[in-house]
Amino acid sequence: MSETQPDPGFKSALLAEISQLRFFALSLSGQHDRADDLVQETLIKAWAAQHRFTPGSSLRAWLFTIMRNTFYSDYRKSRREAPDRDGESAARLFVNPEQNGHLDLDDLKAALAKLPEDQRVAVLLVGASGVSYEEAAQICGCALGTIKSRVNRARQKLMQHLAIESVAEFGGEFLAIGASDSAPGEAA
Amino acid sequence: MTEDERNAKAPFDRELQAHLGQQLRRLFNETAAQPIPDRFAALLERLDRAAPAPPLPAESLTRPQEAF
Repeated sequence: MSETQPDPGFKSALLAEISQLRFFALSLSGQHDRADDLVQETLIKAWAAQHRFTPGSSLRAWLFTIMRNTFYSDYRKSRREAPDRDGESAARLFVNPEQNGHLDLDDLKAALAKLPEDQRVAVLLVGASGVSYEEAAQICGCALGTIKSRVNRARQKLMQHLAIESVAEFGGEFLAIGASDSAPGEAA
Repeated sequence: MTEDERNAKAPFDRELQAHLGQQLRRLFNETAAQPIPDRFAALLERLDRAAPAPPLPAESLTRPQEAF
């Protein structure tokens, strides 16, 4: 029966990944309360499936794969059942109601909330969590080229957004030009 | 965009890309700096005490090839 006994190091290995898991859960769900439930569910599934983990491979990538699958099979379903107002949950992305974050990250958070979900997850995996493109492709269940293109598109949009914000700090001229792009009568 | 315009824009893009990279890492650090709720350590303790690993839900047992 010894092979069915949990690896004594598995628990501490999981504990060491919790910060990473919380961040990836936020990348997926955008909400702190949901994110911690997602972390908990991922830990339970990982524990039960630990014999399927290949020693020497990336525990983080394995855990992220479990988390992503859990999110799409369970959480998305419940989200459809209880749809929130348009963009309401996206607006809360990474905003912890109990703790104020860095104010200068607010622009980034707002820009991330506007990205399509697959691009947001890709750019956060590679740019923030620090996983490789190869691991990100494995986690998202798609081709390496797909991940690279998602990251590039996300990065371009985020850079555009941050460029506009930095221009806004210096004056309103660019904003006036931007406003003239919208069709007459479009603004509320 | 002409080539001159692209060349003029390139340093700004590089700077902006570096700025974006820093911001993304800071976003990660902001989350990582938060204290880890006790519930996770307690959960792992419970799971560890209940070893060997608890049985999977019936649904998972009937479809062993579908991981997770």
